[in-house]
Amino acid sequence: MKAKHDEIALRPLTGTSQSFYLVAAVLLAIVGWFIYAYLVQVRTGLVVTGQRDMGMPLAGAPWGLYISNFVWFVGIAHGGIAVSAIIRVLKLERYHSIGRIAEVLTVVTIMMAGLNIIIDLGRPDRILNMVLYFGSRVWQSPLAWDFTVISLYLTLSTTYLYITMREDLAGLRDKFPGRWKWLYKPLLFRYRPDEKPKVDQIAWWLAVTIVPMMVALSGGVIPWLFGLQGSQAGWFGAVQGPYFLTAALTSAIAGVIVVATLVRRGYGWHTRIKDEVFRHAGALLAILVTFYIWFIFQEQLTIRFAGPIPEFRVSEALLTGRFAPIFWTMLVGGLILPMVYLFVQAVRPRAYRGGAVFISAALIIVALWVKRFLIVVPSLLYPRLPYAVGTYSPTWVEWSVVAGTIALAIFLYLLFIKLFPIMELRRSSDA
Amino acid sequence: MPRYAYVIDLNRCMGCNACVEACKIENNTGEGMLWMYVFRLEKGKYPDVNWQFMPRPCMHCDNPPCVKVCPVGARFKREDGFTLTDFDRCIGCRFCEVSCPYGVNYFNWKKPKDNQYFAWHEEEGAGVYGSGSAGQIIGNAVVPYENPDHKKLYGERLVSGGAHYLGVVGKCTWCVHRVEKGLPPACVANCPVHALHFGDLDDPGSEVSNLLKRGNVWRLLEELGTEPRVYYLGGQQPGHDLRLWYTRRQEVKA
Amino acid sequence: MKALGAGQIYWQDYTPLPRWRKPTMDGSPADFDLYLISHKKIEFKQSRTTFNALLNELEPEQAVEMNTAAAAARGLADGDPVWVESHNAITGEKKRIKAKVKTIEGIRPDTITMSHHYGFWVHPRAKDRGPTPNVIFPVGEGYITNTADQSYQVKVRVTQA
Repeated sequence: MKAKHDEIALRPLTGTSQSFYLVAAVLLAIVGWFIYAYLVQVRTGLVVTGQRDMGMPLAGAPWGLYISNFVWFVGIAHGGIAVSAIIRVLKLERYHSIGRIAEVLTVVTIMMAGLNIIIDLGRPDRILNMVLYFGSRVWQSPLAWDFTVISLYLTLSTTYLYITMREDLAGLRDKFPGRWKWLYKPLLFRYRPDEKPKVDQIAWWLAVTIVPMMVALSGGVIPWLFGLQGSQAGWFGAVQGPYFLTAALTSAIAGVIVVATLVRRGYGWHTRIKDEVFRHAGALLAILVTFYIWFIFQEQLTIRFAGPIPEFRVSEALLTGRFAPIFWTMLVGGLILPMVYLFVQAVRPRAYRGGAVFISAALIIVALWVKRFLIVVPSLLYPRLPYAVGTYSPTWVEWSVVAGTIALAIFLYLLFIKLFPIMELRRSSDA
Repeated sequence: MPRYAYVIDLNRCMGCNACVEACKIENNTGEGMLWMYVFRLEKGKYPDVNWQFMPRPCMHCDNPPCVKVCPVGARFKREDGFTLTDFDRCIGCRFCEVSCPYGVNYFNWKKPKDNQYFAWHEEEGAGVYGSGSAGQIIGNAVVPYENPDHKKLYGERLVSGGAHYLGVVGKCTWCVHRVEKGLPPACVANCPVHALHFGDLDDPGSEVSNLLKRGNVWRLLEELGTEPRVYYLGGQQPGHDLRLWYTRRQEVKA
Repeated sequence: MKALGAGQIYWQDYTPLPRWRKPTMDGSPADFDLYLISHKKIEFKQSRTTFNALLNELEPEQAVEMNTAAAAARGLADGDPVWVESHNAITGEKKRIKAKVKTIEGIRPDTITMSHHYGFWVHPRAKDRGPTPNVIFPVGEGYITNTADQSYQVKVRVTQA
């Protein structure tokens, strides 16, 4: 039984198909193009992006795709490990099989989030100033808080992933002697087979720590980047905390569904990751999306009922103005329709189709990317003072960076699948 | 320690943009940067129309949102009222820019040399002004963007001057390099109608102190609690009924 | 002069004491319904400074300043490119230039104005910043006088370009 399980779980490590190489080559090509675009940006300055100063005479948006991409990545990142942590803390053994899939998603996407911030900086060579002046700035600057929490989150999630994987690594080392020895050996530093109970204990406490961290990150410092800026109409407000937390959870669950579906299909793990997991995740996703739509309604109603004029101008641009086509497509096509389907499949198991749940989750992810854009940019185009209304159109460099970071995330994920067991091996104690 | 303030008499301002040009030349800001900007606002419908000209330097707020959000402490507040940027420390995240309700921050999108109005290092002038580069024509005198005053440190930090550094945010410095010499900021010195005033609030005899004793003194977007150090006399707050008719936009291209 | 289409010689424009007469432009047909005048901007000195990059930044290009309501009546919005076509009431000659509309409230609905600083075509920095209205002001009989009082007023029509 154990041997059979392990054989199935190790499929990615034992065989590599041609299509894998093809996908990896395409991803690497996109990443190469992204590196080229970034070099262009470093050499000429951020003028190659579509971002420009607020106000006159440039009337642009100082933040654009990079920041919306960053917020989107953080959203996916923060939930992945939370899924795994909740599974562990609440002992939800039924969903155990997607635990590591979610953890790896977190580690990969949070790295991309950090990368996006560095790309957005005018002086990436001075990034260490964040550390040098951290002590004095962490009391005031939301960006310093971000830096803290993202570093903590990356550390915690990597540690969590690593210590829960050590046992499997030892299994791999014994199974394929010689293979990736240089990689596994340092990772198995001072490994003892009897460390298992201790590791479980540490992992449990880490999981308990990670769950509140999730609220601190996506319900806290990320929305505070925006929600605390009293000067920006459309950003300021206490609603941003729960609003962003819901968005983050939504995109994370959707991300786990998308990745787990692809992995399951790719390696024929239908027996390991059961349909039930997707059905339940889909139901949870539907509830979260409902909350999110409610938050959008809540925010817009407040602005339109009694909001000050600068807020109203932003809302007008979203609902009826220049951003209306994107906004309504996002809301109806990306949130409402998937939500309806996910609810239907939740109450009527006959309506469940793996592919349809996958498409719904993918649509939600895309919609949330668009929504992040609609949070960051429109407010910046409508300043409080009577400047000209701004414009922002992203350039090829920005699109390359967005495509490149997504491709890089997928590539790193694939690399992980090839080097480490994405599916936990059966514990020796279970056998 | 003086307590500096800046007073703008809107009853006198005629919207000539001389302050804008004085600032550009003094600080050598690049294309697309107007550290000083003059709103030309219009109110009402024909035939009942009023115009208001409203200069907008940096407000040098006492409760500056840009200082609060800066993750590295490059934007800081001096005790005498200056809100300045340390160009040696700025990482270019532009958080100050999105947190500022007045839109006074200007990022160096381009390399400063490429962003000058006149390509001093190239042979652009050849054919039009004679042969050779512009630098040769002026006898290799100090080119404007290399004003040595801007390279000095004030309060041990690099805060003066304009578009000299790629990828950092700059803004109005109230001409700290001039004020430290005892001169008024360039915009104040160049205003042809004495609409702009700069001075010490702690000195009861100073021009700004006397001006603020008059009625109808207000500050821009005071309701946001930023406590600006720039006071306006006369005119009105730019509410939704004031329309910017002078919308000359500009593009900066790579 | 009659050969050129002039109905009369405006000899009274050349007398030592000016005498009122009906403005020449009022002889234009009714569909040339706007008065075009020209003005100077505070930033520029005649047409000699449009190559100054600093000043160009403040006033980058020519604009047809027009009352908002008058523009709306013609289906024009701020920034639309338009043809400004003038009519010479004496010879019937029409000339037109293309520029962008700038809508403001502070101008009469029956009048449009363009600044006369642009149209300098030699200097690379002054080129392509829009035309000067001088090229559509008629010269000659009825318009050129010894007091220049008719020279810079002409009836025009504005159409979407």
